[in-house]
Amino acid sequence: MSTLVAARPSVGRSKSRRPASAPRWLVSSGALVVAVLAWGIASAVVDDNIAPGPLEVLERVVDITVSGAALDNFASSIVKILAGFGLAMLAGLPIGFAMGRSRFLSSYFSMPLFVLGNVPGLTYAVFGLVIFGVGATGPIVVSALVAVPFVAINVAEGVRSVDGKLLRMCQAFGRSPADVVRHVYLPAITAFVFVGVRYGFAMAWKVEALTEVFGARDGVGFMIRRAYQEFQVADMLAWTTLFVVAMVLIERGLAALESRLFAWRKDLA
Amino acid sequence: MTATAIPPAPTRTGPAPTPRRPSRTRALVGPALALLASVATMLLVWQLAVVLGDRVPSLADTIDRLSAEQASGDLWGNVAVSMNRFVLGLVVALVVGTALGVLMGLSRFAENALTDLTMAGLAAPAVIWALLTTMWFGFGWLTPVVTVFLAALPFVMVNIAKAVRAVPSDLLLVARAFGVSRTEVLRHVVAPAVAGSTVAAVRFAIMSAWNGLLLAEWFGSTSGVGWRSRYWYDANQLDGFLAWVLVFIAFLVLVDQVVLGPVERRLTRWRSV
Repeated sequence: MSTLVAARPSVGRSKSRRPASAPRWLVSSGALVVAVLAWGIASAVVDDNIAPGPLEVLERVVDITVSGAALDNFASSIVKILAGFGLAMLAGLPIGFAMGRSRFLSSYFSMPLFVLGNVPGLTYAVFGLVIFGVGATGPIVVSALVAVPFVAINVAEGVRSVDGKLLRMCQAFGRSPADVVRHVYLPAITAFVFVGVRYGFAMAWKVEALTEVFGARDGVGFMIRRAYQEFQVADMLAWTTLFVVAMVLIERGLAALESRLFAWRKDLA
Repeated sequence: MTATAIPPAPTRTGPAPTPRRPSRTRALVGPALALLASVATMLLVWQLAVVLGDRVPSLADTIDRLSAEQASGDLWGNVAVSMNRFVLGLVVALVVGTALGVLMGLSRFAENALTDLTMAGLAAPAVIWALLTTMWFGFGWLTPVVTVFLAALPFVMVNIAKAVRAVPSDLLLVARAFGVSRTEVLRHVVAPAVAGSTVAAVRFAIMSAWNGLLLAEWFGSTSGVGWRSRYWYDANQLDGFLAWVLVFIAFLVLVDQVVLGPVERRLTRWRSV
């Protein structure tokens, strides 16, 4: 297995950007416009219910947003994710700590974490539905299971990043274990935990949405499933668009928060 | 989406870097013992789930069902069908994704133009591709192949672009100034720099594509591993479903540990020296 979940916190790297020749926003929005135009032309050529054009989808997006359905269902999905992440933290912190401290436990947990992190979403969705039924519990447990490896592996990386000399010095000066955890480990692992949450979030939300596709009473995945069953492709695309936009915004928000919160950790750059 | 195109682009999914440092005395015994203990623990947890959750099938039932599938020819037949679709979609995604990724790595314009689209592609859940392709192409081979392609493509692009950016341009200049031959430069400067991210590209592409394949076959196919697992699910025979889940997981572990792991270790050997 490779080093795939553990990512170094991205602190402070953004300043290394080279100066751009054409304004970035101009090029990227130009590319988006071209992509949407291509989509419009394709849907005009196909001219069928199963390939609605961008305008039609935009109309549905506006309808869904104005009617409040978007807010309700996204809020419901996100609350489930947050609950799942809470559980994942409870399990992931001690596991990650143990992995960072002990080579044996690190090998011990790596296989189960690999399995948890890579089991296809379909499996989670089906078992979430079969075991917990239609309701909030399934998506919550599923997103917790998906998030645990991200949290644990990044906590382990954080613990490994702690300077051994610092620990020996704490010992020499008779610091209590509580002090060591509070002043040495905590600052070291928070940045890593944050990265774990940032990357885990996307995975967890996708699997959570999939679980809702299989069985739920509300949430984004449930709405996509309903649109699919009613053969409303425009609705499916509208919900997907909202999902993608929300995901990108949350990712960017978390990334911005991360570089602000951990700007003091120049050593991580 | 995770590790995306922004500079710090890291890495996502698949757990696990146990640092593989050159051996101590117990270097071989320790991990083997740990692996054994962890497999034992997983089986124990499964057994607990069987006892506590009334709908979880037991290990023995699942294995029975798996061997029944094998005896009836459904196991390898469906695996072969799925592998065809999987490899086809994956290879196309790798070729197209590599071309676009190299472009993104080399040209700032291409990077600016494609980054947002790739981010959107990374954020879109595979299930939406599976449902859309089912509506578009019906129950044919195109549904799983296109889903596999779309699920893998953004991951290939992001990681290949990252690999290209990792090539140290100053070393290339030095090499040119000293008249180092092109093959030598490729072998000693470019290859080590791009190896890690290239393996990551393949790995993420496989993980994401496999997930997409299963969903596409679940919703829009009448053959293949995804369809077969749905067959048991629809028949309310969870041991049959779980037997196929074992196959799914076995495939991923096989790819990761037996194929990509050694390749990666070989490619990154120079780092630990």
